[in-house]
Amino acid sequence: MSAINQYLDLYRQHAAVICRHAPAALNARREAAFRVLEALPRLPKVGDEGFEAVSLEDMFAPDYGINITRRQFDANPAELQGCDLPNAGTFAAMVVNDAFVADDKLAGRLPAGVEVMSLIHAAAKYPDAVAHSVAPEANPITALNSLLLQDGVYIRVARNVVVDKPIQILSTFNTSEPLLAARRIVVDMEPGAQATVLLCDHPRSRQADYLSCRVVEVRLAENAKLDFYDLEESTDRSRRASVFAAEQQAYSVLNTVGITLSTASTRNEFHVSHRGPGAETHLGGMVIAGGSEVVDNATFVEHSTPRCTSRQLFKYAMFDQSHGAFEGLVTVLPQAVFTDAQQTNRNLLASPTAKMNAMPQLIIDCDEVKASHGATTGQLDEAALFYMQQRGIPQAEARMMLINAFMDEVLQRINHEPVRERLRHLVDRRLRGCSAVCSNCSIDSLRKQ
Amino acid sequence: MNNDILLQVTDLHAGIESREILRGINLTIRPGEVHAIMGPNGSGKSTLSGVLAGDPHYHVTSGSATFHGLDLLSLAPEDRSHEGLFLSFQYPVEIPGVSMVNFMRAAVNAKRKYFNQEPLTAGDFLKLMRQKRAIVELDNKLASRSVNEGFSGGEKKRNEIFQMAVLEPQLSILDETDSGLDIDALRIVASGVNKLRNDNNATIVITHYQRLLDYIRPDFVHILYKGRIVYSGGPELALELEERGYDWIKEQVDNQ
Repeated sequence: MSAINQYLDLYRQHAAVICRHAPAALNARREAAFRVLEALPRLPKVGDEGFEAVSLEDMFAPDYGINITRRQFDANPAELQGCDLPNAGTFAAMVVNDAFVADDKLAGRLPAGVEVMSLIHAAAKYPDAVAHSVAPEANPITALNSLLLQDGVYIRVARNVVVDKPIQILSTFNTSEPLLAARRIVVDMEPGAQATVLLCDHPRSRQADYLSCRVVEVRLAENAKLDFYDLEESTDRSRRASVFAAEQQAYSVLNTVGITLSTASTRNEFHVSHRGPGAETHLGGMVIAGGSEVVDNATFVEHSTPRCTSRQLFKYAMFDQSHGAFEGLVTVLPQAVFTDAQQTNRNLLASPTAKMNAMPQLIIDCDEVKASHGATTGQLDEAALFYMQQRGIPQAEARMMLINAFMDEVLQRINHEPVRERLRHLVDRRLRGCSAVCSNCSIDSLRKQ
Repeated sequence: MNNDILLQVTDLHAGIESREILRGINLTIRPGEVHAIMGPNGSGKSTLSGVLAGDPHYHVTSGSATFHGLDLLSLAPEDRSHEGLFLSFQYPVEIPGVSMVNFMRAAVNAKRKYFNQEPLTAGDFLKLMRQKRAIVELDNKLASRSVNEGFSGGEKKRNEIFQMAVLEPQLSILDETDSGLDIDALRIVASGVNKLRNDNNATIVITHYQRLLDYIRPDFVHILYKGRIVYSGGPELALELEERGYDWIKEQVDNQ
């Protein structure tokens, strides 16, 4: 029996309860999502096309609880104070389990034209925006999310507004029981708007098994620019299935950097499509995995309009028995003339038992294009290691410097300097074997209790 | 010169995988001395420098090397470095993404830690870099770049001598430091090495040609052939090799 059935059964029995706590715009999608899932024999497993490392069937099989009655968990927005990025400060809000929690003062601090609110609130204020989803509805992660979603985060930046500080959303789990949280973050960038969004995924507890079923929707209007940074630093009891979906209008620029520093098992999908000419897409990703962690990034970039650019760079450093995969697909449709697409995946296997699968693919139905892809998997440069040791740098330190250097190319894609330096510091801490969580993050101190 | 022995190599055998390259090396080096090791291609010159520095590619099968009283061959490469052994690489390695500054800071502070000293302050470190750069006329611009990345052949070799100046080794092995150098770069590199010479340190110059020895005057010249030192002499031996080539040595050894 497939893992899907328990979710279908739950919905059949409790549809009324789920819908009662959610806005009409979200309820309107549930039947279609139900039909998508009902039609699947099972969720994808390793070996299915495009699934080289993570099995969604196994990830969704345990009987996690789902908080369909919207029980309130204690959440203290003051915790966010400790998480402020040094020298930058952020506009921060939280997702605790599956609920949006904001400090009372946030709305007052936000500059004119910038809104950060719950999806429930947004459904009343911007019903059309919430009703119109850009996520791929036939996708099993999206369908599970749409079936169960009751709340989320809505971010809107008005026309030509440039937000100087990052908008930070910190997601945590704090239940003593296992929990599956359906989370959705919707970002609407009006024409000419510019912003930086930083997502931090830290469960606050490792007392129980958690699964985050997450969908991020991004709409970029003409000339809008979004820098989107996503840090996952969770525990060996946390899993994540994530779909990031973006729709870009003419001359918009999307720059993403996703960093996985710890998890039990994570699959991140990126679906990007262009709706106007001249759009730019930069997808960056970094994975540092050890133990028996499993991490998978899959990209689907569709060039359907002329003169758009896409650049993908995903780098992995795999230790111990970890297993990583990169599945990248770039599609260039016949009308997408003068497309310029590049996809790069580079991987380091730092242990003989670590494993990496790379599946780069290009489908090109247009002659007037530049498109390239490349994937390499190798070990640390032995000659460089010996050179560094000869100069007195101990081997462990030399290895760390080489891995930091390897990852630097991805960090360089973070345009916001304080965020880049903070994440660089966390990557370094992770490589030194420490928990990567920010040293002044109060979530971390709670986690260690 | 004093009579202490800095490096004593005794009947050293080593190779790669199952192939034996060094077949019984004996060598005694005292502080203040410069030894040139010359020999035809494939005689084992680079293997000897690699084995002494601890390159994991090579396996020592028998023999010993004592470095100011320590069993050199039992030390990790980084500890050999801390104890004062420096290898100037024939092919200095490019390390993209690791800046020269971070590389040297890590090296200097690792050595200080080994001797239970506090790390250098940022100011002292920069001052040290500035002083040592002057010895080989190394451009400040190179310091902000990744290690050896995009350096010309001459810049790479000067960078090696710069690192040697910073680390102040007791024994420096210059492995084919003259290869790929034009005459100006050769002069700068050699003058750097000469400035660093004193009565307490020693240098092994590994070279195929006499050219470098015009600038760095050796006290002893050894000829390595088929993994053994087959001939030792004074500086005049290098001149003789320059004139007569290696064939007479090969004939003598092969006919024995």
